[in-house]
Amino acid sequence: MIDPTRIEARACARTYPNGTRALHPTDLGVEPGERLVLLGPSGCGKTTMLRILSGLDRPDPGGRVLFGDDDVTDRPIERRNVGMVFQSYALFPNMCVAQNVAYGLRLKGLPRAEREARAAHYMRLCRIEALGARRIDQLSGGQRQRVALARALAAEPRALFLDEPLTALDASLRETLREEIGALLAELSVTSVYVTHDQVEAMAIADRIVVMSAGRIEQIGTPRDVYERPQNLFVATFFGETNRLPDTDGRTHLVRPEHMRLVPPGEGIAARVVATTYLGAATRVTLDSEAGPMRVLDHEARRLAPGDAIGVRVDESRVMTFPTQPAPEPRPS
Amino acid sequence: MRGAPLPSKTPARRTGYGSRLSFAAGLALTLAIAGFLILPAILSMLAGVTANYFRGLSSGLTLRWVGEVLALYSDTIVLTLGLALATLATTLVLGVPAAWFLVRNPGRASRAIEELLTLPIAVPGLAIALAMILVWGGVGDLRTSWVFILIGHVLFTLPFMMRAVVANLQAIDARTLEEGAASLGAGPWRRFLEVIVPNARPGILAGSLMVVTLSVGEFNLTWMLHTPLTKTLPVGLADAYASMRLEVASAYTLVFFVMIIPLLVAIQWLGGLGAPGGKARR
Repeated sequence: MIDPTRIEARACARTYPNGTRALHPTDLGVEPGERLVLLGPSGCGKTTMLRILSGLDRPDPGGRVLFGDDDVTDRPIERRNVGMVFQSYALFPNMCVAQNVAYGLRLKGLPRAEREARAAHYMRLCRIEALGARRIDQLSGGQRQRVALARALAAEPRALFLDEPLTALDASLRETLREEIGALLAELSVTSVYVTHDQVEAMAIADRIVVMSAGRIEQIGTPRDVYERPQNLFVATFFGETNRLPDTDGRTHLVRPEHMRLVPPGEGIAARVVATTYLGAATRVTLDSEAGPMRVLDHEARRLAPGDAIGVRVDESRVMTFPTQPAPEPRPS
Repeated sequence: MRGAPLPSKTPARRTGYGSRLSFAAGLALTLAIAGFLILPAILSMLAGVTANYFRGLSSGLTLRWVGEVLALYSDTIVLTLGLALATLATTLVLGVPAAWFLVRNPGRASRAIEELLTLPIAVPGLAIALAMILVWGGVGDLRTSWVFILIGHVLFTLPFMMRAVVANLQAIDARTLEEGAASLGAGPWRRFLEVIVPNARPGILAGSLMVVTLSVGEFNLTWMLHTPLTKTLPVGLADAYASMRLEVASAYTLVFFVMIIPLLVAIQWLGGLGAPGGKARR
């Protein structure tokens, strides 16, 4: 059985030899059994935080990492009893699937029979029980990541760390796997920290999301919190889509596409259709309006053509207002 | 090293007129060059089994000269093989961990070391040998020991071992593999022995064959370092050409080829296995 542990980073920072700060001093707590997702654009410090928590890297002097009441700061990863899943899988090509999954158990010195039983159990959970004898180079990308997950879980770690585990996979596979992984982690209630730059992935997996940028935490909250009540302009624009309304006296106003409605020309804000993307359940309409470029999600199956005149009405109660700041725009990911 | 100049790539895009002709011309040229290179060696080896070289093949074929070579130079052959194996062992023990260290700690210093490693290849063997004699020639009995030649051979072959292993380790993203093993609880030694070394096997194998082949065939450095009692095959060959019947020297060439050709074939074969597209990874 996996025994969930609380994990805590206290004043953890990381500075490169050239003086660049990858992570400013940061406190972060992960509750026992929680699925915490570190989300942010590349270079935001999320992987650095993961590597410090897992023990692959040390924090700068002064930072501490705690597993429960255990101060593990001075212990390298191999003495922390954790599991890790890498973007590039990190499976051992010299071992077959079953040997990969059982490797951590072998290191623990478990007797063979127990090793095999446990490896089989986690291979079944990850739906790779039929692949045990395969070589790693005979597996697809999705299968490899399942093997990596089974291998990390089989050692029944105190915490599981996942570093962009789905980034190397194609879109449809990503969708299936992220739901499976999310469900599996919840079922096993293993404390997990999951790094991604993909907000849809973050929402599917997370109990709580930590939005990071430029080496700092911008906001921590449930997916709903972060989406509906972003604490600052960065979070609002990075997490989900927003339209920017005209600034008023030093304040920026943002509104989500689903909180806008298309209305007949002459009503609301005057706009012109630039492009439409039919999504099935809705149509994404790109507009050029009096208030600047906008994207609206239209559920009413209108047939719009580029150049059509149209009006836009904003649900005023859903407008998000922030002090205007020269915040760095998040890079599109 | 890589890529025979001609025709392997041409057929795929043979679309224009006259390309069939140029293919044939290319093939002919390649065969001519190959013949030019191989023919003398074949003739030399043939001379080694000819009863009397000056009367030609009509004098009949014989293994007498080969027998004489084996009798005269059996010590040399044993020494050469022993030296090659000792060189191999030393380059394995030094080179594989060193290659891993370089891959694991990338940076300016590592690159500088890699550059330094190529020095023994660029500097003439004679110069290295001279330097060795100047520095260590007076140390104990080292000068007259076969170990002296071993040191020279290790200096000369270590870069080849390291390059092969470094390239292999980089290709398999060994650093991530190590982190994976560490995350499962493996300490530094087990990571190295159970994950890094087994997955670097193609590189280690290629490096090993290279080292053995180079050691067996090395002449420059060895000629300078050898004593009458520490003679290797190439030095003995020079000796035989200088002081004995041409047939004996030619038989010597034959013996040498028989020893070294399997090694060369194995290197080529291994090189093919490791080539991109040969066996796709990830």
